[in-house]
Amino acid sequence: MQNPPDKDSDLYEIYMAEQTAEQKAAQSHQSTAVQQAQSLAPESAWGPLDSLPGNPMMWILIISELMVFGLLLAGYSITFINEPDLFRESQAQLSRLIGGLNTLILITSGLFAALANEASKENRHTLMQRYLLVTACFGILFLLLKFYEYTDKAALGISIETNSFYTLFYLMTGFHAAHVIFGLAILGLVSRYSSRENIQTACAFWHMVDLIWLILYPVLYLVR
Amino acid sequence: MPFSLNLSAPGTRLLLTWALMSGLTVISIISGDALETQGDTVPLGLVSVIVLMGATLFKCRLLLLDFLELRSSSAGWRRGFIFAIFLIAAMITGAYMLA
Repeated sequence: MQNPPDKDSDLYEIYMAEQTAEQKAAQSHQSTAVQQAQSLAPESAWGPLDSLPGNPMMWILIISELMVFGLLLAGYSITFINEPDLFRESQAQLSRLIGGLNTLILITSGLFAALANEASKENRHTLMQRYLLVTACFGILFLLLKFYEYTDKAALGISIETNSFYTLFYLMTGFHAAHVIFGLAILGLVSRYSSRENIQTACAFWHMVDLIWLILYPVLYLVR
Repeated sequence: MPFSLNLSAPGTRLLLTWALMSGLTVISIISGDALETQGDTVPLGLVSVIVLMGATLFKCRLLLLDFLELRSSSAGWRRGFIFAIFLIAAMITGAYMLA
């Protein structure tokens, strides 16, 4: 390394000016590198989850819910193997048609949620809100039919403690209905705070609720 | 003006998905013998259960790809989710065979 010239010499000012310029260049290079790293960070913050539409946290929830209902269905399967006659007799008291109607209602609500998502992509705010309202109306209709079903069973003296079939039936359908209620609250919230990501995330939650019912209906009401 | 169906339009695709899913639900209701059978404990039979779970799997696949927009996601996620639903359907069919 070259020694600095004497402070009194004429070369000292030139030397200092060169040193300052070099330091500035090094700082500028560093800050550019930091900026580049920062601009890349959001893209890879969630790893593989970044390739999924909407907020990655919602997908973590969707995967968790699938696992929870998968385990509940595994428990149902094991109990069904042990007590097939009890399950057939208990299931026979359910209204299979109401279960089917509820499936059609949720599928239709899913269609309107997906249409709301499309309207949001096109920045058609009023149309998006209308679609969300229709989605919520079908969700409420689903809950009303579910309430009718529960009160009908209660009138027959059937409750969560009746037998193992009804314990699992009320546990799974009740947990699912709680998700529908939560989904309605989310739909209401995002119709007010309607950013593109919020709409996509709320619709993903609603479709997850729909997906779980698509599996629950044949298992709880039809397979015997 | 002649009627034309633009299958690539998102709205049309979603409507077709909904129609297919509704049709599959009606197939489930029929193969599950759900009409006027309250109180019926007669077993469905393995073929009906396979049709039922097959229709369920296909409905879930449509929902995942079109409503949940996994069609535009990576193949790994698509396969993973569909495989998870397949496992559940296989588990239910297996339990039915064992019961």
